[in-house]
Amino acid sequence: MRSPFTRETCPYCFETFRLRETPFRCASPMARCTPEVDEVRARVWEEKLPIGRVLPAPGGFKREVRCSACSQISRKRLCPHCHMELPHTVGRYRHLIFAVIGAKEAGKSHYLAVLIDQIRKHVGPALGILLEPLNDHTLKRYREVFYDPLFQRGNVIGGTVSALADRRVQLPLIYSLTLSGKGLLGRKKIRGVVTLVFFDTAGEDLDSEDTMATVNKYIYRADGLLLLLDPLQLPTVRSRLNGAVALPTINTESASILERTTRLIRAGRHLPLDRLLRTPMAVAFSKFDAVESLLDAQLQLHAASRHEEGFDAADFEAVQAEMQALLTEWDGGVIRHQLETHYKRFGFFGLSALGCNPASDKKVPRILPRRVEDPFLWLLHAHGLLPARRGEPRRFR
Amino acid sequence: MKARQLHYTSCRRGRSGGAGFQTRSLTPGIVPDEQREIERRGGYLPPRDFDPEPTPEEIAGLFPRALRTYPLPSGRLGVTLSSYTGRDYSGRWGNFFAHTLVLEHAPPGLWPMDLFEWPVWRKGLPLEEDRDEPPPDLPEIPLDGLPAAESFRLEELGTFLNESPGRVEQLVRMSRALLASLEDSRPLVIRDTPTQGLYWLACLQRLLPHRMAWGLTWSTYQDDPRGCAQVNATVGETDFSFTEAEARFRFYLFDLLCGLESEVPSVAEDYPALAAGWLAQRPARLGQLFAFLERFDLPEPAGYLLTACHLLELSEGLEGSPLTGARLASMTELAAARALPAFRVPLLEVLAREVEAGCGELSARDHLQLLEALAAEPHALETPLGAASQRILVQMVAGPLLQRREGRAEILTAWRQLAEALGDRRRELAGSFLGAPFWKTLAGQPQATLQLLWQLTWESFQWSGRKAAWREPQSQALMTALAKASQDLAATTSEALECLPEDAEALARTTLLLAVAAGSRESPSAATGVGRGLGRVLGAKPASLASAVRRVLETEGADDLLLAEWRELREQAADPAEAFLAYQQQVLPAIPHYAARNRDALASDVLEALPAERRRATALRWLLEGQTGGFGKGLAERCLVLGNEALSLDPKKGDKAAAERVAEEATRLRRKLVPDRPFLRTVLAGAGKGDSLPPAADLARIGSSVPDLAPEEYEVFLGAFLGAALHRAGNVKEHRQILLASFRPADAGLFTRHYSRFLTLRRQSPWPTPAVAALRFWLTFDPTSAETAPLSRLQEGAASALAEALAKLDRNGLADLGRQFQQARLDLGATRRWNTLKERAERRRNTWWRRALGWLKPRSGPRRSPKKSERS
Repeated sequence: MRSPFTRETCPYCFETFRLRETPFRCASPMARCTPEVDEVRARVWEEKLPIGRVLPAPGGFKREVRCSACSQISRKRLCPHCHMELPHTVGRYRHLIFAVIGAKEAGKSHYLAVLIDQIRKHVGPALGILLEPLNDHTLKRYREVFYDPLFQRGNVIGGTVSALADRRVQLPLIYSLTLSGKGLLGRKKIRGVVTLVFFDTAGEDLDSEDTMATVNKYIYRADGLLLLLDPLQLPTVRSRLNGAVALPTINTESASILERTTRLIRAGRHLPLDRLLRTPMAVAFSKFDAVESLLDAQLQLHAASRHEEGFDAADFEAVQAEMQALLTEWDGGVIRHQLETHYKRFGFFGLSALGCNPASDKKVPRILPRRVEDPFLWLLHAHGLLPARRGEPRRFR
Repeated sequence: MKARQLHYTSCRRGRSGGAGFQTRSLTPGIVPDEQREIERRGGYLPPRDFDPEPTPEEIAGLFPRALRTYPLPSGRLGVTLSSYTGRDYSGRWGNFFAHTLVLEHAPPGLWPMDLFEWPVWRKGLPLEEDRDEPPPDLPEIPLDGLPAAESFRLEELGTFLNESPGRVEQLVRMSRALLASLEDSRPLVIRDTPTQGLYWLACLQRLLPHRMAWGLTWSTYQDDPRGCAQVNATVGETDFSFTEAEARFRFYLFDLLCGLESEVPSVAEDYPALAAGWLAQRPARLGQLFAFLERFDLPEPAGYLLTACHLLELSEGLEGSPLTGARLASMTELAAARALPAFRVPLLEVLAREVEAGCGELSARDHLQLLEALAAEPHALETPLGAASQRILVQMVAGPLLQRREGRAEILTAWRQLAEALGDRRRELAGSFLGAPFWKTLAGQPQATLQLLWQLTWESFQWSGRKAAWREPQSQALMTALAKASQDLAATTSEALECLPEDAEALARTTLLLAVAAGSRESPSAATGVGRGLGRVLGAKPASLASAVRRVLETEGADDLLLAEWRELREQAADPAEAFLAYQQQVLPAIPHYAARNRDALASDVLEALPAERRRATALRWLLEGQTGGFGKGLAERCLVLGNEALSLDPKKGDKAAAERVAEEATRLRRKLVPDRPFLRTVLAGAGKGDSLPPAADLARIGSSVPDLAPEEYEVFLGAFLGAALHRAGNVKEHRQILLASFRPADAGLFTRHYSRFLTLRRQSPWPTPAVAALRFWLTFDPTSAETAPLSRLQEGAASALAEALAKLDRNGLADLGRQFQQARLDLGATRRWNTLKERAERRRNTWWRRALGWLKPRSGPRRSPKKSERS
């Protein structure tokens, strides 16, 4: 249990608060305790529907409150600023906010859809990591928006609507990550529990600093950023492919998004310009399968990463070197320079969420993800949650 | 009227300069706040159970279009038509096109659904227009002359409702839910086929007045419960879960596909039922209602719709259900507070006519509300409405007040307000009131009602210039009823007089009228009650007015009323004696005949009212002032007795003049004083002076007065008289006379104490003559003698005191005393008593205390030589 005086961050509005300040929401069924309009929630989230009544913050170390109307004990904590229900892990476990950012059509939604599936089904069991949704909204949204269209119907995921037009986009996917392992005597034990908060962003919401500051406040509160770069947006790549692959519309430059993100973090965290940003930044080339023809067949990128016994640091360093070289070769040196100048920790990755370029009818016949877990595991490793494989350095840079 | 436009979709190039969902273009003049709200309201996600990859034909035919109306932060109206378009420029599904019109105000004569089929709507962005170049600004669209949607005309909606049984009832429930949602923030959500959803919304809109319909937010397709409109239609699977909990607590759900429906409270008669019936059967009637509503200023019309229907029916002369108080109240409130000025009076006329016709059982409060509304329109009272209002007031008295015995406060309020509003024309109101037919039905009415009527009657007489109201039959009827109903005539009288002006004639005549009505001639108590009531009123009036009233009563010979009034004054006064003094000085001079007739009664009344001490003092004061000379013999004698009682026996207290006055009065009245205090004072004053005893006659007067003295007076008397007199007694006879004159058996103990003090007194000479006389009296005392028998109760005490006195003598002194008695040749009995006394004296002398005192006495012996210091 963390101290009730420790400041926590709301994963919805990103305001900070102390646990002792949090009100609760009555957990009774509506038939037992008449719901009422929550004025705070109506103001902040424009949600004027009747909902369980708000129970004032009891203060101190209390972890539950009894509703004065129905006498039911409630453990549903609310953010004191926006009255959204906080994950039950708040105040008990550390929580990490990971944001996936990138230009429009960079593949953010696809990446998130595949990453979560990969962790749950493949990477997780191998590494002793269990990823579970923490609320119904996460379960439902992942299934309806990400999983069903892609894995069930084989379609590409529709464009993410701007958070300005649809407040639902602003609601994060919240998971608990349970790390299990064995103790000194070989017995099973849980090594730690972390709350993971994922944000999928509409690319157009990253086109304006004002919009970012309004609806993407999570960026400067994030504990890890994953910037997806679409190599097909790079002019050099587009010219070298020479029509071999269907090219997307030219969108916002990734370098511009990185610039805005950096400014937003500095402004949001009140960091001076002479201070390096400590937020780990994973920069990944998405849709790497589309540019395979431009790559040397001997590159480590083509090999599968081996994270079964921990984070594969050797592989990471090899890929890091290759990606930096490719970035320079494809006229992306400015991105590398930005990262080296502003960020203390960053990594370069290459991945493909779908493993293929969707057909012209936007159908995805088979999903063969490649290296989608690398940036995520690197972020966990950077936060000390995932050790490196035995015999390899525990940390880097 | 022109409208600004805004297009929002996912496109290659828009206002952001890039691709993606954004405002593609707009008409200059739409401010950022409006743009933000429009973008928020335009979102569209198709139902999840619809084909994820529909053909253009399917999109056009099956996918619902979302027409949304909502207010913008600027106060303008936003109307957005969001249409699903399938793929966007990049080929991804999920694109939509939201075309928004920004209106300055609601288009006149058109309800929101009438815009659904407008040809100006754009439902998508053709591929050829979606280029990389910046799109041009949109022009303003002229809207004048655009037709209403044909599909949603009133007749079409009637047809829709009648197509299938139960639709009217369904609409009633939906409409009730809509009105309820205005109170409890639960949005209304209807799930049906896309087409029927449109019709339901159109029906709901047409049940509402134009302004109210535009004041709500509507959405013909909604997929997101968050930020949904107040009234929503939806289809298929969306984020609405349609669970029992949602239906009961969060929304008013009408899922016509699955049969789930929120419970909506129903009432016997409400606007939804009435209006839905009209829409289905007589659509034109709704138009008439909405035209009628134009006569009102209703910012929140929901609560007035049913009332407006009722008022419309009344104004058209249609017979509806009976006029109840609640309905009249709501109609009055609507007409008086909400009607535009030009329509207010005609509507009030309708209501006044209805009330005057006596429809329904209306309470005083119901009447009052209407009369207040009428009074608030002074210019309306100059029309026939003025006479109607007067008749309503009279009806209010005859009905609620006299028949149902309620509404006094309301009638008084209505009377006041109407009188004020009528101004100079209130004479008409008085005439209506006095000419009302209810004057013969006053018997048995509660007193409060009669008091109210008396108040109104008097004011009516005043307004109509009839000064001598007490002669009017209405007054006489009221007073008769009032007297019969009264439980407390004094209170009744004062209440009746309180409402009269400060007019002596009115007050006096009304009092007389009430007294006669109460039967004062037969019953003194009735006169007392009325007179006391008059006293309460006059006590608070100016003295001149009160005098004038009393003069009238004196002239009429109403002494009983005046006496009762005086008693009331006396009871209210802190000091009755002072009150009488003031009454004598200030009131009685003005009414001399009454004063002469009732002087004794007034004085007796005062004496009765005073406590004993004050009563005696007051009588003594009257004696001193000579007032008793004017009293009758009985009262004068009573004052003499009281004055005598007030005298103190102690001659040192300065009542000499009073004592003389009492004695003088006793002489005048030839009345013997018992006890004769003036004489006793004289005796006591002379007790310590001279050497002779009082004459025998005086001793006899003393003896006759002593038995009537109070114990404390007797003690005073003994203290001052007994010792002094006994010191002057030189022989046994005189001693006996004094004892017989001053002793009273009832206070034998007290007497013994004073007498013992005399016997044991330390004297210069041990046994002077008065002491020897006392000793010889008791040695020769014969208890069997009739004369001295009462003194036998003193015998033991006297013997004890004598023994004590003898014990103080030494042996020689005692022997000398014995020799005196031997020479006097006492009889055997006396000798025995002497011996007994000597023994008792010896015993007293031989106590250890006496012996101790004797031992301390100086004895003869050798002298002690003085000390050295004493020598110097």
